[in-house]
Amino acid sequence: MIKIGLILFLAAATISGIVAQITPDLSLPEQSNGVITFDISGIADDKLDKLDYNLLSVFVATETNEYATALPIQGNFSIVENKLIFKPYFPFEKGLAYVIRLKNSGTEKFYYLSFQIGEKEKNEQAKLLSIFPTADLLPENLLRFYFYFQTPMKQEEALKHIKLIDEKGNVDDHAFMKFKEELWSNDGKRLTVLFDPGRIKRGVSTNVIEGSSLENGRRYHLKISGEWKDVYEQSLVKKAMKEIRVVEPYRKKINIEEWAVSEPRFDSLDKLIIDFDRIIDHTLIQSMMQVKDGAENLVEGYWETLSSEQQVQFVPKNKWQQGSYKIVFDTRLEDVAGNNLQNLLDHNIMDKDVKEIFQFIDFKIL
Amino acid sequence: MTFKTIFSALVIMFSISSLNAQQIKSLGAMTFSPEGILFAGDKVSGAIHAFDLSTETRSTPQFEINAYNIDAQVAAVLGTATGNSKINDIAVHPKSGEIYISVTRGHGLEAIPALVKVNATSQLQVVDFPTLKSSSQALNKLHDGSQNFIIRGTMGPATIKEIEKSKLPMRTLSIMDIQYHKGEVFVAGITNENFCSALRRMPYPFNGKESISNIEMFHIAHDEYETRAPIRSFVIKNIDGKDQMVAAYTCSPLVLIPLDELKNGAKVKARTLGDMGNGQPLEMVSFSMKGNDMIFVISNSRTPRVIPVAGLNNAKVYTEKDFERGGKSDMGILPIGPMGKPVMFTGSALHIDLLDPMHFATIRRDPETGSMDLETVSIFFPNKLNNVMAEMDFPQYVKEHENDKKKKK
Repeated sequence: MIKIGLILFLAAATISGIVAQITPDLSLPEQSNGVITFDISGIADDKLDKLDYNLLSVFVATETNEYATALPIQGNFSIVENKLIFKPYFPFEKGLAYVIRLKNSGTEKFYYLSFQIGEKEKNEQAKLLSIFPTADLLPENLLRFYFYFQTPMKQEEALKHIKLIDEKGNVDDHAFMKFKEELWSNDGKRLTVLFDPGRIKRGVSTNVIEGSSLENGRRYHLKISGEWKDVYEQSLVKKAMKEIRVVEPYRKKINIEEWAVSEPRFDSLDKLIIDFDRIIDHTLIQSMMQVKDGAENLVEGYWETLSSEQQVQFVPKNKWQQGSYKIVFDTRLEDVAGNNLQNLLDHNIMDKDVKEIFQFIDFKIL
Repeated sequence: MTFKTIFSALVIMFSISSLNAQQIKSLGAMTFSPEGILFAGDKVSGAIHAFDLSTETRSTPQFEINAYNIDAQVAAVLGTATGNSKINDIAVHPKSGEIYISVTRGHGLEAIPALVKVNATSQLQVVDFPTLKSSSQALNKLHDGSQNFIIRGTMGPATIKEIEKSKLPMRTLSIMDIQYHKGEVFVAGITNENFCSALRRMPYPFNGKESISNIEMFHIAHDEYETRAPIRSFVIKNIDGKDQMVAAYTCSPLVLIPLDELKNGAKVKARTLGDMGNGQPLEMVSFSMKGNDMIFVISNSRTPRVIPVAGLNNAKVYTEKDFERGGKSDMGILPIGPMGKPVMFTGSALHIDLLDPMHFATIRRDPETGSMDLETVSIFFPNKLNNVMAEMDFPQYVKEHENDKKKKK
């Protein structure tokens, strides 16, 4: 899309000398890397001595629309078949307004024409896309929430906008950890909010005094205010609410032997499905779970979470071959309460550490 | 819903670029050889590029150069909005006297390098560098761009700007400064090692050979031996009878490093001669005043400093044994050592190079308007007086002064 506008409109064919008709003789770039061409067949040879910025200049549009002292964009001029071609050294930018100045060598007057290539890509709306874990039923010792946004959000004000409210409408201001800096992904679109671990770990003073942030059997809701702005100063489209029903805490470390694994068929693209016995931290699945064949080669594909992160499926890129396979779990894989394959989050530090790095579930394709 | 690993734009940019190291993907720190070869650091593709500008000659006599709002002028000739291009460095062509400016046009993945020069009549000209005769040398042991700095606040929680700083890949410090000396190019920066502060040297014309030495130094202000933070800027001087690098670090030790110790794989202990006081040096330039060899140092935190090279001969080398334990600051014993003295410089110097024996070319921020201006200043009094109103600006003063002169006659 190219937008053209005459700043000073010219009646066609009224200009003596160089320019007979402005717009038909002038062709504007339609793409960023385009050129400006100007028909010069009507110009006397003696006026063509200096085919440069005198005859045709292009500017980045200024606020005042004054170009007497403005610097023209630099580039190369060439003449091909009676056409003067201007190619800037650098491509035109989408959404930026440019102004072409043409000089009538007869009257020494300047004529101006503005154009623009496309629209500047607009920011998407500020929006809360999802909250993980996505389940409503969450364990009493839930460790963290993840908030996914459409655009990068303003940082260091999250806890002003995220509130945990109990059944009676009381806001728990101490539910979440206050860090020196908030835990944002590099692109500013994912926020991790941790419950105060002192409230979760049994026997730690805040747990004893204030109790657990979430209590088994109770209902809460998580409220996210619509006043939260993204870095472009756009407020979230609407406020959001997540209902939570609290269930038994996860007090057992993860035992992968309790997980059910589906049986993909030979020569198929069947998904490999694992049913967890609990909700697993979705952020760790891609990096901490792999499928390998009998020769230890990585099977290409990706993981998707299903059923509120209580189930995961591996989508293979290629068809399954006969043979033995294994699912490799990094023992740092965690459930949503921070328990991993080696330890519970609040394990006794006197417990012996298990030093395994990986655990496996074997399966065969027949 | 599928979750894909989130990479920062820079990581992607760096990983793609490492496949084609010889392409010109950015132009940063620059220097000229006396013959007119322009050397420019490219930390995106990870290379040093050399552009042959040796046939350029001085066409017009050198007058005072003033290119005000140089950032806006550069953006205009590059066809982009002010604020969408960033000036990285300046270097003066030794023959033409024209001031070359390395620029990044655009941000993130969109960023492309540009080179602009300002001539003796203060006119800007885009240098179509792809058409120049050039050669490149890829650098070894570069960060892949995946590792960033940590978040560090200033005596309290980190501000948003401080957090932004932590998102820079460590690779951004790969090439801090470049100097050409007797057929070799010297490059200060960091490698991908833990002991990463490094000096690279490579012969020019490039032949693919690169020697990398790691540099350790005693940091007076931090009271520790440091091996990571890179040399910010350096010059090469003959001191104590041999060619030595005079190098400046952040916060702000000045050290000597003999060139003959810069051998491939060497771990070199720099000699700390003093500390210029807290702050971050930006650039150093050699010049001569009344026959004396001098170094002009600009900082992002202090007024510029002029250091006589004579004072660096037979100078005391400081080690941890010379001080009580603990950090040192301006409020305490700093500056220390033969660090010359601070000089008046109105506004804030961002870039500097020697234009001719009597003048510096500099880009400075005006202290009142904040405008970024390219100007030339005298080496004796490196100032413009537009921000200074003194006794001598009064018409009555001028009149009296003229009368005094007449009386004396």
